[in-house]
Amino acid sequence: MKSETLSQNLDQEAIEVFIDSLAHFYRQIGVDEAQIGVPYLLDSNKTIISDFTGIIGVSGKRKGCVYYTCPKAMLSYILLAMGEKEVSSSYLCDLVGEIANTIAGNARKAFGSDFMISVPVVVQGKPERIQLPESTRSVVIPAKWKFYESIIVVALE
Amino acid sequence: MKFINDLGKYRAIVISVALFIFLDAGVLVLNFYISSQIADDATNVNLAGRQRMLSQKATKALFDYRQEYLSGGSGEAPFREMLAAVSLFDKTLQAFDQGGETLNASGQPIYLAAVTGAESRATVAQSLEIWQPILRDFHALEKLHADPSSYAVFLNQLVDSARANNLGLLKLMNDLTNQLETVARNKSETLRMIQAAAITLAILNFFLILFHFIGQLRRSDAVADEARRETQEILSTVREGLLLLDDQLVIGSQYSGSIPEIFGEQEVGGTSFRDLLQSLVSEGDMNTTEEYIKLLLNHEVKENLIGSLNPLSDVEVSVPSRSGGLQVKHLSFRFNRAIEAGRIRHILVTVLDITETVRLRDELEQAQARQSGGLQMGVLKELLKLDQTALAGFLSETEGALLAINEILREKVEDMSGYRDKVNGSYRIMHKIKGDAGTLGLPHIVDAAHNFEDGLEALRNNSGLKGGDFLPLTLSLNAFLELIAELKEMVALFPQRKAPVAVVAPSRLEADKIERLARRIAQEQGKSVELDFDLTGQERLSAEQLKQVQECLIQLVRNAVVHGIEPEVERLSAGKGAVGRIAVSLRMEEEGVRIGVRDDGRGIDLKRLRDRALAKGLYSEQEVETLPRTRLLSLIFEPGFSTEDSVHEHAGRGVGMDLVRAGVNRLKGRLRIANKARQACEISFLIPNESLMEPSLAEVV
Amino acid sequence: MKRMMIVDDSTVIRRRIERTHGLDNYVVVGSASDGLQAVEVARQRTPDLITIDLTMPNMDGIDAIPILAEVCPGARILVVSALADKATAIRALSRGAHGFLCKPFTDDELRDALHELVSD
Repeated sequence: MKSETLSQNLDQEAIEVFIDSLAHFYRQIGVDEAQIGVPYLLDSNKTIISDFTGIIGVSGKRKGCVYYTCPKAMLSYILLAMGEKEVSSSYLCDLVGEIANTIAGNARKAFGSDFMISVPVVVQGKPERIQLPESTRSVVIPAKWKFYESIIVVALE
Repeated sequence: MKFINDLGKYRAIVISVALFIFLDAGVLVLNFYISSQIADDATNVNLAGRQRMLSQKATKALFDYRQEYLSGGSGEAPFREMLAAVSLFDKTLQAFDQGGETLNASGQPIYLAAVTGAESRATVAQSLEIWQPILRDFHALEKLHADPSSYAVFLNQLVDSARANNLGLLKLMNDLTNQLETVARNKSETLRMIQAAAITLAILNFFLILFHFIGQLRRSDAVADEARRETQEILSTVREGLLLLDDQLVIGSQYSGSIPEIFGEQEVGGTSFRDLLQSLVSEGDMNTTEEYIKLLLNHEVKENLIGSLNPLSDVEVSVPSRSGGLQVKHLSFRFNRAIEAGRIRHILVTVLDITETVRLRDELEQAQARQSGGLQMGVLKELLKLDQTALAGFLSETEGALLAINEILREKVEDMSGYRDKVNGSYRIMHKIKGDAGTLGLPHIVDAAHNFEDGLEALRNNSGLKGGDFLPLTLSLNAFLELIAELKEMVALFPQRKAPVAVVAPSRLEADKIERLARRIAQEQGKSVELDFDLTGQERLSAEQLKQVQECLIQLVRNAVVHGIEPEVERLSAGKGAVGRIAVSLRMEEEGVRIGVRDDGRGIDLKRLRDRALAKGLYSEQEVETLPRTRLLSLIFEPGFSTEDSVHEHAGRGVGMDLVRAGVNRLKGRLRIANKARQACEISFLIPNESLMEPSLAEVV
Repeated sequence: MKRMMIVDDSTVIRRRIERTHGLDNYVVVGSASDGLQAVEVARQRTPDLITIDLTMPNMDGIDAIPILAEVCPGARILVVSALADKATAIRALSRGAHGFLCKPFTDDELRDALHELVSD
């Protein structure tokens, strides 16, 4: 177990940065903060995907991906709360992209050159492009905002 | 003033020189003044002296005139001489008195200032007093010249009067001369002193300038030398390679001593940066680097906004080594603007040899890999000693248990008590894993489980528990699952391994395992125990029930060894045998099967239970005192309630008994505690008849 | 008030820059999704500040930057791009841009970069 500690710390640090970024995003757009739920593990052959998903690729010291996925209703709610009149798909995609970008930007800032963080890709519906590392379980962090549950999934090798 | 301030360090010297010139000029002006004063005073003294002569001349001319006149001569010459002398004397005396014109020795008109000084004025006044009547007489004589009758008489009177006053007047004129001389002497003396003082000051100032500024020059030379030396010292000792590039990317003459060391070249000053790097980095990188440096030289481009583009932040290079071969190094270059007077003059290049850092990082990574390999070897040795079937069963079961914890984590809960349930649920499962691993003799897994329990303990003590707080636990769980998966893979590689069996439930209670565990724990705690088993009637229990009972027995025996049995010394002093006795029994009673663990230890201390209940805040002080004995005893089955003060592997978390209660509940049994303070304690439970298998059925199984 | 123009083929990035908080002194006067469009918009709106991506369809950032510098001589140009290829970014900068911001970026980084860019 002791040998796991190092990478475990790294993971914990990384995941905390992701969680903080999400919290930061909610603060920034001036809505209530999301409640972070109890993180759990997900088998590598399973994915949980909601309506809109922002995917960030990670390479360098750790490889894999991080994605943020949430229901359409929640995004519409946030957009309307922000004063937008229009809630078309492209606006919803933009918003997920922004959230993912906030997460990615903070991650790049926090980890420097140890991690290479890609520009987020936004997918509506069931994505074909999510490639999770095969041998690792993902860590799922549920976040509850109002009535909606969104999740961050961290899958790093 | 502004000008003086602008002079900076030269201010003092400029002021001193100005003072010197001022003093010298002052002395010069003074000289002129003194000279003119002395000339004026000399004239006064001369004229006063001439008055002496004139008084005598007039008297002598008067006598001569009378002589000639009486002897019948015309006396024309002496008479005229007498009048001239009288006129000049009078004119001069008037000038001394009132200030006015007179004639000098060569007959030129000269202006005389009135004498000052009380003494001189008195002398002049006294002279005038004597002179006025004499002068009148002379004027009268001049008028009477034509009237011979009274003339001789008047002339004789005048001669008498002149004779009478001659000496007095001479003396007064002599006094005046002396007084004027004294004044002149005093004045010139004073002036000379002032002059001497001014010259002395000027000379002092000169020396001041000389000594002060020579000293200052020496000091500033010394400071400059020191600064040069320090710069040299910094450049020669600094570990970083430092050099300056001009706008043509040519290396400056001053660079740090580590530059030749890093690049393996002796003289780099004056050569181009390209020449220095050409053999080390690719042509493409070199071009990019030059372009990057040119961006830095362009003041339009923001330095802070291009730092991330530095193409040489980490480069691997091969440089000539001292021994003549090539040496691989990792270098990190930094480029900064050196700004002077608002213009970018140079680019400061900092080169760091990060070879060592990179090597250490690599070594650390390798060490980590080795360490995990070492751990695996240790676990592998443990595994090889074990019965493969049991081990495979344990690993599958543990994996299932860990996934069950994951399910507990995953369940959606709404509030704090939901989080608490997650902690307690995970605790029970992990404690069972720890117990099983301990029974099998797998200390590495026991450690892992123990660490996990530590994490749970931290959560249990967290009063403001939030979902995110579980993150370390989730990650430990993941690591634990990975460990189990690895072990499963290893077990699959064992040559003598039989076909995998999923979960092998024991069809009988495994007394030997329980005994091994009890002995091991006792040994670790410095106690000795002896176990007695009476397990007749276990055939009435199903395989599932037996599994549950086995688990409960493990926890109860563990509890008996840790909490019940005293250390040998304590036992002996209490009049007991050194070896603690634990009886494990399974016997048929009227209502069902009673399973119990009895020890002859110290029993349960009710007072400590009360204290503990109070400390945990379960009851108020009053409630604790009036709590019925049975209720108090049942507290030991509450999650998180433990009377052991320190947490060690075997007990102290209050989880074991919690687990027993959960197991007994599943068996639909009832718990009973028989406690005799300081003598014995038996914890037993009854599995009712309706839960048991028919005897006939049991035989078939 | 600084007039700002955003050139990026990704609507996510465009909207993100627009939405960045704390940019009270900036007003977005135009945006474009490729280099050609950027030159046209810049000609009409004369921005003080241009953020530009490098890889775009029709005309990429490297080719657009010198033209933009010509069209809006006073404008400060910030290259906003992923750090995949330093050499390309440096070449873009040497053609007339003034700063570089690495994608993905945080709000703070964007804000700092813009302030730095317009400071003298």
